[in-house]
Amino acid sequence: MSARIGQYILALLVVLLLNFAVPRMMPGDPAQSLTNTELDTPFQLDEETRGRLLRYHGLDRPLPQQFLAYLGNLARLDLGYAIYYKCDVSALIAERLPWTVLLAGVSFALSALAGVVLGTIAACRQGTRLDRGLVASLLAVRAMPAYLTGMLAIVLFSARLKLFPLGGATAPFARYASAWAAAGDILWHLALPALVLSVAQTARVFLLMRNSMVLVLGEAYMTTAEAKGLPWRRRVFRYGMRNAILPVYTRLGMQLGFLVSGTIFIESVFHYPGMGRLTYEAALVHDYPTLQGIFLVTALSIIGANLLVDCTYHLVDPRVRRAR
Amino acid sequence: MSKASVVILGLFAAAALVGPALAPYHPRDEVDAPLQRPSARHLLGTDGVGRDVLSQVIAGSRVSLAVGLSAGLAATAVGVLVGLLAGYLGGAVDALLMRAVDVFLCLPRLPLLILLAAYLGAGPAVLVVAFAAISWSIPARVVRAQVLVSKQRAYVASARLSGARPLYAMRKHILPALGPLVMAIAIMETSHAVMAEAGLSFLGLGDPTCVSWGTILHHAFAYPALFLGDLWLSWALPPGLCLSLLLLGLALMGMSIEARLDPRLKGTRLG
Repeated sequence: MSARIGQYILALLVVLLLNFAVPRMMPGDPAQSLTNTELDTPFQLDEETRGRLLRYHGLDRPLPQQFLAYLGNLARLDLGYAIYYKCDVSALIAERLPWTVLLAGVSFALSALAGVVLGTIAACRQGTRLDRGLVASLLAVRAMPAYLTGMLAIVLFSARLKLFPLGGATAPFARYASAWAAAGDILWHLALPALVLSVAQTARVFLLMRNSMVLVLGEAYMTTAEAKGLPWRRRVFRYGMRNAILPVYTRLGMQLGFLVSGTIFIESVFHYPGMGRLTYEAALVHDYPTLQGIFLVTALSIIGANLLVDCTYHLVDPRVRRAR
Repeated sequence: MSKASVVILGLFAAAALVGPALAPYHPRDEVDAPLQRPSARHLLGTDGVGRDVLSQVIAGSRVSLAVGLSAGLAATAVGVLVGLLAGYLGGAVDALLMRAVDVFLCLPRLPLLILLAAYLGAGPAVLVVAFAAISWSIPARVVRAQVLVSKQRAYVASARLSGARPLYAMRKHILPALGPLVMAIAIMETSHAVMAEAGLSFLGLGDPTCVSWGTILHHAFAYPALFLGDLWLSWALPPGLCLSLLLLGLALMGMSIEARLDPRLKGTRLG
């Protein structure tokens, strides 16, 4: 366990180093790019102004000192200043993060449930038409990029059938009579993006669960259970799923990584005001500090999720509990 | 190897190889009035500035395949090399390399790629190198596990006992046994790379001088009234479907190789 924690601390350090180093790997003169305007002829800096600019941003100091200053800023939750949005990156992220947590959380729960259930059904019916149909259709779904599924959903359910809003997280300029009305509006806006995101995600969980369950069903103890006359339900739930879910559980942390990249596209398509939409907008306007902040927060959450999976693994697998 | 995947991948390979020569227009030329619906002159209509969408989709297949394949193969090559060295040499080399793998497994791949592309520019070369640098960890781990198994085989032990140097043994005895596994990995990494290239271009972080499926989608989605008419049918749907079909072809091919590696997974023949 302590080895795992050490590994996550190391990963965190690499993330910080990358975040620090990548902007400094950019070709060209930092002072020049700080004063970069949309003009065709670059702004000419004289030596003195250039020196003062570098000193102001701390760029004249040696790299290790710059890195320590960077860490110090992070400790004060100072992620830098968003060039385009003209505010602190941390404030920007604090405003957007809750929406993404809501969207990703709901999709994660839905897809984990659907993937495990469908995967078990397919594995129990391995080789039948049902299994083949499920595998083929979910493979096709997984091959569809999230922006394509999102687009089809918008065209069909929002533009044609007018069942859901075209985008956004709340109705524009809405004033709610009660908290219930507000929650209803938020849920109504959440439904379509969450559904599209979880469909894509379900495919991944499904394929993992199906393969894992197929392998478990082939084990000798499953034959023994059948031979001693255990009822079907007990065999599948207590003997089959209980074992098959272990590798799926360890992969959930990694699945979160896919979920995060999924939100980038889904939120862009649905104009959902979360971190993903922010990534899209920041990339469009080349707001580098914001992109860096997003990368840091995303990496932190994925490392955190992996740690959580590791820490709770003993709850799912009693053998690990005994070994500890 | 499933027939469907061979047909799909063959079609795209043909489109990428000879398509641009047969395409009716140059993909970047503004040849007609913008936002036209499909017609005999423009089978998929024209885009927001009057470029022929069909020619763009054909040109996009070359970019997607070329970037996807080279990035996927680069990631696989690095991964195989690391896995081979770690698994066969063992000891301190193994411990060091596997710690690095564990660290890289925790990094969010797409956000990191976005960061790199935003700062370093997203020419195809940068994308290939950045993708390989980020994505080698999973192949390395899988290959290492297989090398540890092959290392125990009698013929490898006898080669070692008769004085085979590590490099010779790895090249002559371990690597050939890895064939199908490496192929399955290469296919998976290629599909990840295709998706990454399309995703970056969709976000507008691609190379502005290349026409890829992601770039077409980027321009289509930036057009405000895309969903209000039927414009999306001829403009956004074709590149999106091509992308899905290519990824599906790769997934099917990967699955059939996987089933060959682990016969217990068989029974789901997909035609």
